[in-house]
Amino acid sequence: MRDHLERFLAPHGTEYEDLRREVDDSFGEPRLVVAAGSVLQGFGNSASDVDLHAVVDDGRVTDFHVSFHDRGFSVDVNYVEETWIKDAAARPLVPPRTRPEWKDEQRRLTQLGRFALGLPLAGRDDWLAWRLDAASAFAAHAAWWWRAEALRFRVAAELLVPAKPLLAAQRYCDAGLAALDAVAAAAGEAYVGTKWLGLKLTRLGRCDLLADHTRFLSLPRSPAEAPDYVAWARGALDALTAGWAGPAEPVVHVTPAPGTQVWKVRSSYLVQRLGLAGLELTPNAPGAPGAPGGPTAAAAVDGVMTWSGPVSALPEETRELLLAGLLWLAVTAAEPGETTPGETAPGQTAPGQAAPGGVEGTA
Amino acid sequence: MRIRAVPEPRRWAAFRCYGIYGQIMEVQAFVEDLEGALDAGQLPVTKFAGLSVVRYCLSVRALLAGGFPPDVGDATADLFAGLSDAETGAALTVIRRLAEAEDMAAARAAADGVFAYVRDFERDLGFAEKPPSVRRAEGLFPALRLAREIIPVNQAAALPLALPAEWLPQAGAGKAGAGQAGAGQAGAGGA
Repeated sequence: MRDHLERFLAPHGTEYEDLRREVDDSFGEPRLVVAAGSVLQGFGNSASDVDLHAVVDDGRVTDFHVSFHDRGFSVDVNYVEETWIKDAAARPLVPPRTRPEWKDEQRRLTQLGRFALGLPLAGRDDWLAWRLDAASAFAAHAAWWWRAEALRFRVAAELLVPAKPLLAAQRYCDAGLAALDAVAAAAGEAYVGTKWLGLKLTRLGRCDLLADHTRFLSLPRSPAEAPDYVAWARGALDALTAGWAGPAEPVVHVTPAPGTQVWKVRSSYLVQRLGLAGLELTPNAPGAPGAPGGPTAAAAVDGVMTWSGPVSALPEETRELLLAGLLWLAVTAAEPGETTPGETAPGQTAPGQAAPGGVEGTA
Repeated sequence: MRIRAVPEPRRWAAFRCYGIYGQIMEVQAFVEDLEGALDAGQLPVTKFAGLSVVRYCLSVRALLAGGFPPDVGDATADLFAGLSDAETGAALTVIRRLAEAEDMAAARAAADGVFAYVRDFERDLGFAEKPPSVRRAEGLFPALRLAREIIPVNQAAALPLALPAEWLPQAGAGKAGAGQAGAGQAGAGGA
């Protein structure tokens, strides 16, 4: 890594030792400073910058960036609070079930990867030892994440195929790239950054997978081209994931997308997002919320907006809301004690309570 | 003076607010990735960068039709929502041509299609010339000023802020947080 870095720095007249001075002590003496980024992985190009990451004991910083441009290339310094990063490394791997959990898990992977795969420039002995531990665990962590993402995107793609085949193809592409990233991570190429995936596969000598990479990116241009692409992508994903211990049937978890709310006027419910678009749910329609003998209409609307269960049991209203972009999709493997359709999952609203976003307005 | 009817002013505002912020923070980065990969002869990287930038532009264009603000990781987000078949097909043809490039010469030719697609996107956002780059020393503060120009319309349209809340003039003094503008440049906060 140091060789890659020095080759990048040399044309700019910058020495390896100069980089440490870009990390300021305003947040206290850093516990650990690492250089990271594509340059150190040997993937750098003329658009690359150098990333420095510093662990500090200052509760004001969580993920604080400062950039410098005075060396002829960008240096991005990222300060991370020590308790946060230690907790991030110690937490078990739990599949995210909501958007905030997904964002937190993605951020954790990215931050840990920077330290785990970076080049230490300075650090206390205990933090240098911590980094070695983080490095030893990281490839498995990355492979776990990408496998989960491959499953999530594939489930999304399958849901989209009938109504939106072109969009389904995009999600198969995402599932394929995630599956390839999982294979690369498991083989030791765990650096996070899907744009570098093709180079990682090349370095692994996997010409077969590089061909898959190209094929996944060769997306259909029209709905007429989508079926062939979908058929190929399904087969390629089956082959890529054949050795994985996946669930017999994925479990989906849906929650309102950011900005999704319910407006109610008399017996009509509009599930809308940011006032830009929505779907109206009416209790009088066959099988709609509020049908005789079922839960109250408001509880039924909440129930289709926040739902967990096997993908095959996904309520039709929930599917429609998902396809309309009003809900966030998470997918996990079935586990002992997994909630079944209609049950309330942890963090889920109980019948009769307002869903996140809430039912607004009454007649 | 030309006059054009705008049936959905919120979508007009969303396209410009999320589009300008996205152009500064995302599109420029993808374009620079593409340029860097072309320079370095990194064929698979050019393909992915081309896909990424065209998809991002599509998702912002969809704001004018049936889409929602871009949200990284949203597995059912519809980047084609409400767009015409012609508009979608043109963008996907640009992606496909680059994806099928067998060598760097073909990739460079196909990448010109990506650059032209981005220029059209920028023109539709009101940029007569290439906007300043937030990743360059000379473009940093012009780009930040540009991003802050959208705040009044963003707030008047009652849409979630396209740029991080820490970029608001009254926020952030003495406080450091995720994605906050630092002494030099803002972190890449999500829209």
